[in-house]
Amino acid sequence: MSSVPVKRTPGVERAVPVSARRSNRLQRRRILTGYAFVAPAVLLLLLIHVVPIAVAFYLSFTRYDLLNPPQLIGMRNYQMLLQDQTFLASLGRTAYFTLAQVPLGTLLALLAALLLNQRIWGRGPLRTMVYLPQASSYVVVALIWTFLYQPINGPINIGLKALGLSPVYWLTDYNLAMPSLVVMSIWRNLGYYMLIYLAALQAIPHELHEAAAIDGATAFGRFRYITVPLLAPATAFIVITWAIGAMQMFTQAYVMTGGGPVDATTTVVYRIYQAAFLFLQMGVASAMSVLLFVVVALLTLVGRRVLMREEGTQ
Amino acid sequence: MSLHRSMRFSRRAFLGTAATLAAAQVLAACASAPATNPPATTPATGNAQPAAPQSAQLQFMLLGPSNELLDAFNQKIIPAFNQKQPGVKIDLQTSDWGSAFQKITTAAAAGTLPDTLTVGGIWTAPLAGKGALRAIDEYTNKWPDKAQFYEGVWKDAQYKGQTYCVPYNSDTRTVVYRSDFFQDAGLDPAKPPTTWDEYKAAAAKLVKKDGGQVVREGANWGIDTSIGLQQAYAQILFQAGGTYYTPDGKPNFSSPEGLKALNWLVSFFKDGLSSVHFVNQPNAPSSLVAGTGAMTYANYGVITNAQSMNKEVVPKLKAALPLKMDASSKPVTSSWNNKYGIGKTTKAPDAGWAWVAHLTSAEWAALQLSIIGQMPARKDLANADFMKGRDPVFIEAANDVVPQPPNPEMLQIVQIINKALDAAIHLQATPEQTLKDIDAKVSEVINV
Repeated sequence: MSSVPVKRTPGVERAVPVSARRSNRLQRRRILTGYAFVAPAVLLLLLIHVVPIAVAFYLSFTRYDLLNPPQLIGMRNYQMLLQDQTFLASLGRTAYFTLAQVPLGTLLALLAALLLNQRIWGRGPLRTMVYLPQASSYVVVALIWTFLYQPINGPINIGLKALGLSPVYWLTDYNLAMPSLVVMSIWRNLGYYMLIYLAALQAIPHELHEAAAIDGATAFGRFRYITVPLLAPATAFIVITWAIGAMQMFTQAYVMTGGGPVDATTTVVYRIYQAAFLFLQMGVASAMSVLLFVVVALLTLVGRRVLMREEGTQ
Repeated sequence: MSLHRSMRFSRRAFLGTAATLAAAQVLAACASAPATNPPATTPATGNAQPAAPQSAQLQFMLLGPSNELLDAFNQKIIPAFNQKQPGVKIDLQTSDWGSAFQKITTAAAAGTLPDTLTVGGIWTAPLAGKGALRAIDEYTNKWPDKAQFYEGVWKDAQYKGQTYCVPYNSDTRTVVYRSDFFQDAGLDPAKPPTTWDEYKAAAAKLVKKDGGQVVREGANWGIDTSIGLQQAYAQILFQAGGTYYTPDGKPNFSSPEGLKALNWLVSFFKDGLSSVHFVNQPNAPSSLVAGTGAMTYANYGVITNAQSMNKEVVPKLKAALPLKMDASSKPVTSSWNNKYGIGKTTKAPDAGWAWVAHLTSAEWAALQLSIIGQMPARKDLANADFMKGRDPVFIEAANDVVPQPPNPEMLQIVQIINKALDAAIHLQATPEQTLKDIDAKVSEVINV
């Protein structure tokens, strides 16, 4: 280090050399420049995510019909919702839809990935076919499945009739309507999550399997003690993201069943749509949105903890 | 200062600045909640048919138009209007029906309501009650054409004694049936049912089952993913002499008449003459066209549905006059009519009225109706050229219309009714309980 004049400031025990101060200013400028570059994107994110959430939070404490100014009513919307059997039932149905779809869908995605990770004939076209529904919009898929599920002229029931079976009222039977939407949703989403599993499978080093095989491990043993643990991060990601998406189910109910029969497929987001856009009850809709947000946020936090714990044990 | 501390300081400052900006946006958003729409400042001149040229730019929102209808507007209707009113420019905007009500209310909230707009079936009271529509009695009271409209259809455009729009179509429901199914069942297609008892007796002969499952309903009730069931019930409630509200404005669904109507409706499902499993889907063949229903309550749309989905069925579809509860009652039905209205915030109400009057005049209403395949709201169009080949029963039924009572919360009320009726026809609630539930929930909504 060259000798430079040292400026001593009273009370400062360690004097900072001039060259070091210049270096810090340069660093600060570089940092500020970096932040300036990301600022537009961050501001946009804040505006389109944080601001609407904040406005919705505010509106949840109001009575607001879009055409008259919001009136603050305190916690009344929340009190009403937490006692409203219709809303609580929609929460239950949303939970049912999520719990029915996610574990089963995750398992099927894993099985599909395992199968399509093998060197089998037609692997490429098969992967494309499994992924293809993901390329269509949910509305298109919903319309197609509405036709498939038709009681008399739908292909599924025509096939059942050909086998000598009675038609099944997939969308109009109170007990079958939601499971029918679960099946359709799994079919639509399977390809995407299969792809994630495929990538994760291909990231597992072959040497681990080879070494295990040399040591006498069976195929199931290798799957149980090598593949599954190493797929844990992918599994956690799939479960969390699939669950978050499932909890916001709307399109299937709107297009295929209108929330029926007898509210059997009315989920929380469908109730939010009704309250906001049919009944012009923005305050109530906002309160429901906030409650849903809290549930989804909690789910995300729990999932992240599990994920971090799994990564830690790796 | 260490690099780490400088980074922390810079990040804190950056995040603080960003949060301040975001908070400012939040405050701006909360503070900019709209006040009640100011009344139009242009003084009303009350011209029924303004002959003097006006100068204005009118925004007009047309809902759900086909390409053919759009062409008709751009090539014929608007140019014809411009010949009468050369200073008035029409700015045509379109929207699909599905999101239209939300767009209109959002536009009203933002102060960007179109000057003139299409108003859907039960929207008059919700939009007028919330200050989105302008009352037009000053114009219609002096309008000679007013006498040409079917009375029941015209009342649908009114709220609290004031007129807010002018109907251009009559979506009147009446009995529609398959004549071929009638013949197969040994019924005379020239003698359709006229009373409740006859209707049910016919349904009993028309229903078809396979292994105990209904494969063809004797009577279809228009169940769909929207409010079709409520629309069917409205008619039979009125046929029974029931009303939505008592004279002092309280819900009246659980009246003896309401119960009679619902018991009759539910009996079709209990007795296996109708099925909850046949749900009409948009852009799909309706039940009569698909052959899964033998009779229904429908509008002329069932014919246009057959024309596009299954032309062979068209000659087999016949219409009959609305039902009466018994031989001593009157036939009654309801209708869901689309209309044209003037936005509350328009700065050119006279020009807006001139446009609405033009659209609903005999000549231009006829053109629109010939394209969209619906029935006229005007009596003088009952025998118009475009009506040739159409079953006149669809228009005769307009004489029996009892309008649905207007209410600003109508969109919520019909959802409440539809949902409750759904439970009743699924036999998950008794008719008595269903109607009590409707009364209770509607009371909450309308605060009585």
